[in-house]
Amino acid sequence: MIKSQTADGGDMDQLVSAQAEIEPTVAPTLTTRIRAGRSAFLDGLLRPSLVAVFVALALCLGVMIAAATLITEQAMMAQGAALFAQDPLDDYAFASSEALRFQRQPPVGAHVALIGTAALREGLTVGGDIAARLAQRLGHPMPVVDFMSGGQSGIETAALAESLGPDFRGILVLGISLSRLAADSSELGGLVREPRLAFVSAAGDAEIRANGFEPPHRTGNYLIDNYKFFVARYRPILWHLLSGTAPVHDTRTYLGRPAADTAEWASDALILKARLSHYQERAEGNLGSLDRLIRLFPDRNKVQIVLMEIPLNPRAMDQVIGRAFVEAHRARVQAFARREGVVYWDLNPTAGLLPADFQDWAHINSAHAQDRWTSQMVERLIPLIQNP
Amino acid sequence: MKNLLRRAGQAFQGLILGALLFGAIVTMVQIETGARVFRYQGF
Repeated sequence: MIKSQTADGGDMDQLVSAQAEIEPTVAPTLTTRIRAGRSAFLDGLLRPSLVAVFVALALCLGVMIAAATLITEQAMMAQGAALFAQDPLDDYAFASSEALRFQRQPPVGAHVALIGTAALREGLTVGGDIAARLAQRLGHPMPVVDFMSGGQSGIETAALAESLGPDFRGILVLGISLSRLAADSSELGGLVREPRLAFVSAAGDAEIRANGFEPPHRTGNYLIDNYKFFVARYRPILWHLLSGTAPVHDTRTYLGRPAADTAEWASDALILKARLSHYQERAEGNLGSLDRLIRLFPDRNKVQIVLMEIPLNPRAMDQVIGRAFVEAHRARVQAFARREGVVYWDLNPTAGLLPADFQDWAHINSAHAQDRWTSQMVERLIPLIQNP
Repeated sequence: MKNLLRRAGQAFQGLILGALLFGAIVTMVQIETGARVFRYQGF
């Protein structure tokens, strides 16, 4: 019988039997320890305890204190303020940051400021492109402020315009439309309850009062005065903070979007008709809002104001609104502009836009139409800038 | 060691409860005050 031996000449059988004696005692000890540890952790996790309550309250309080400390005007105007935006389409978060930056550091030198709704915005190329076109024609830089946003109300227009400051110099282009003049001021109640801008504005508050509402109580504390803006966005803000990602503002969203189908067109037409049925009774009140806005910039040697009509789909003009209605609107706004000493531009008769250039009744969705509309505006801006 | 793990479990429970409590408080404020991201496109 051959007996196996270990390297040092020991007996292998003895070694194996010795191991067998050791292993049963070591293995259960480790397993037991792990089991006991797991059980202790689960015990702590699942049983109610004062420690857990304390940690929960401390965490909650800590997050709130962190929010109160970190969410300030300075944070909202910083480069990383995009963290506070809901998503790339959150026009009002991005506009708030820009407005706060202007409040801190007013624009120096002549600027062109564009303020209006998405229909005005979608008709124009991005601000940088307009600035480049102007600079090329003028031979000197002409920065462009893009304060155009989806469904902008008179309250927001006033607040954004005021952020340019009393020393603003240049051209202020304000979007105007049939729909805007027919807007129901009672709709603004929703915006008072659910403000979209993250800054307080005296002009915005004045506009709220002029429309029969009371602005919220202002404390002077940034977070308290604007808490609804941040509370409404707390989930994306937390996600942006945890993931380290921030949305990039998507300023032109209709380009390439397919035209409204028959059902959508019919639905839009109904809404537009319903709204325009109140045009006559509401137009003067809504022009009053524009009048208050114009009065924010009384010196025409410093600020030229242009009321610019939004693009209008010829199909909507012919089939939904009616040419006579549009002509009467143009005459009304022209007369108002003359009274106010401001300029009124309607590029629709000269831009040659076709129904195929629109997504719906007012939003341009083709690049060449946008380019044509922008070129027309730039052509009109040049003489106004050169000979104010 | 066992005690430390129990404490870790309690702390983890606290973190979960804290996150839930914070979410509940903010959601309650959101509902109570009507704070939401107002979406209004077009008209």
